[in-house]
Amino acid sequence: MDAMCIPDTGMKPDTDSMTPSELAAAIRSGSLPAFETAFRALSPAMAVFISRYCLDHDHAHDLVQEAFFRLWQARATIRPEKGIKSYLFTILLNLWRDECRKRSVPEFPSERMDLYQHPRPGIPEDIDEDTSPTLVILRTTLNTLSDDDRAMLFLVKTGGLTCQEAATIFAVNEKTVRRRITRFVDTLSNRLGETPLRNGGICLWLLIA
Amino acid sequence: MAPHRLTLRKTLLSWFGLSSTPEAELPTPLASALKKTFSPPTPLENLDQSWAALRTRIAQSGSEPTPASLPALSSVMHRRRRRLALATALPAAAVMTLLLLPRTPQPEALHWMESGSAALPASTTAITAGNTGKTLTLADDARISMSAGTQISGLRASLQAGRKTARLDLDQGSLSLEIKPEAFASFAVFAGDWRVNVTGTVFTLTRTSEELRIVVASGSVSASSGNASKTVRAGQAVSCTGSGIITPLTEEAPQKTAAPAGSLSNAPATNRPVIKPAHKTAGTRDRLTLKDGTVLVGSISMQDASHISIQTEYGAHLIPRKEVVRIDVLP
Repeated sequence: MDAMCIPDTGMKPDTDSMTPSELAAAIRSGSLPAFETAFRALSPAMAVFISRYCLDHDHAHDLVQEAFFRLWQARATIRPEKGIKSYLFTILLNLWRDECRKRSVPEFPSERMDLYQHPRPGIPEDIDEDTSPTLVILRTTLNTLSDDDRAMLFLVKTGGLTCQEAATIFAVNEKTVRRRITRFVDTLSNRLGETPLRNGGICLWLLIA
Repeated sequence: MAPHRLTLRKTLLSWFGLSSTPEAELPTPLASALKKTFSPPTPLENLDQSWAALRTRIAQSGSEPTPASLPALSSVMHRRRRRLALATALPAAAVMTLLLLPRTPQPEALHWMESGSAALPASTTAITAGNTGKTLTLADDARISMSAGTQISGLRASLQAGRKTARLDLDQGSLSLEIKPEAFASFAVFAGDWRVNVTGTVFTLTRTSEELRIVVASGSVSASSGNASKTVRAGQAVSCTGSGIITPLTEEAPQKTAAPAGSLSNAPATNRPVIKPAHKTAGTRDRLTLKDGTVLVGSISMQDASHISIQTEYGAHLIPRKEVVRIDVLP
């Protein structure tokens, strides 16, 4: 039976209870309900993840839809044991990177992160005076990361992937993902902890002088 | 005041999901900065609308999957890392290829025998003939007879891929060489700046401080130094001096092949004067100077109104009159 002939009733009792590999197998066999289940479950996190890169609400949704469409088109090559989450995020990140390459723009817009565009006005990213210096340190530290390391960080924290899933995307060991995130945390902790110590040191030096 | 960095580290690790036991609350500015950087800037809405749009697109594209394949899950690997991997893999592959390639067989050293006695070591540096001279042989392929007081060095012979090669330096004295025809792919005798390439032949080399004298009994050898080179045939003798000049010491048979009219193809190298031979040949000697500076020495005869024929030691040449700028009769 052609999956496209399955009426979209909104009832997905079978697909909701499927394991990731079962869901992937169902999509591979052409089940549109399974695909819808995957879309509803994963597209919000994917949109959140990619919106941190493209900084545009509508563009993020376009990219997510394109990623799902490409997965559906190439569903015959899905390997069910891999699940579909890693496939989808891989396609999504590749779409964004291809676009950046064509436009010759950096992958991660660290300098423009506060310029997020949303069709609804009145959602500014207000930054108070207390947050601003910390935000600068945080984003400066993010800038020191390679594109892959930064993507791992966002996939885990923003995209909601596990370290294992992120590791699958980058063909590395799960421990590598953990180590790279830990390295970022170490750098950030050092930078955030250095500031008061340094100021204190200067004050102490002035007192002695 | 900022928390201790270790506390901060543990709390951040917990925030990133790498630890389940937060030590303390994140400072408010940091929590706010993290949220602004990593959390969704706006809530997501209209999933139904998005799904409807995707479903429409799927319906329009048809139900059959396309031949397109999904990316390999490692395809997101950054280009720099790919380049790095390539930069590592290529030299490794090159090294492996070199290691696995069949090796060219090393040349096998051949040993010269001294007057029928024990073989000379392959690393022989110099050999000096005493008052009675010395004879060296290499099986039946080569025989070197050194006159009294002659010194040679760098004597080598090797066999590689079925090809024999040999070389030696004549430092001083006189050598007679008998080389079996086609026995060697290359047999070279070096004497100062001169290199004498030997094919199958019998000849004598004498090196003095002024010259290298080559006397060929049979076969032929070619002597070269810099741009100068000459083939010495059986019955001929030449004297090679340090300045790259080869002077015939014997009468040479003129070459029968006359050059085509107007051609200088058989003429000596341009701007290199032909030196008068040590032994004067029969007939008058004339010197013909051409427009391009070439000087031909030989016996001139007027061929016709527009050409001059000159018989030099290199052969007969027919020179257009308009090319000739001067004719001298040598004493």
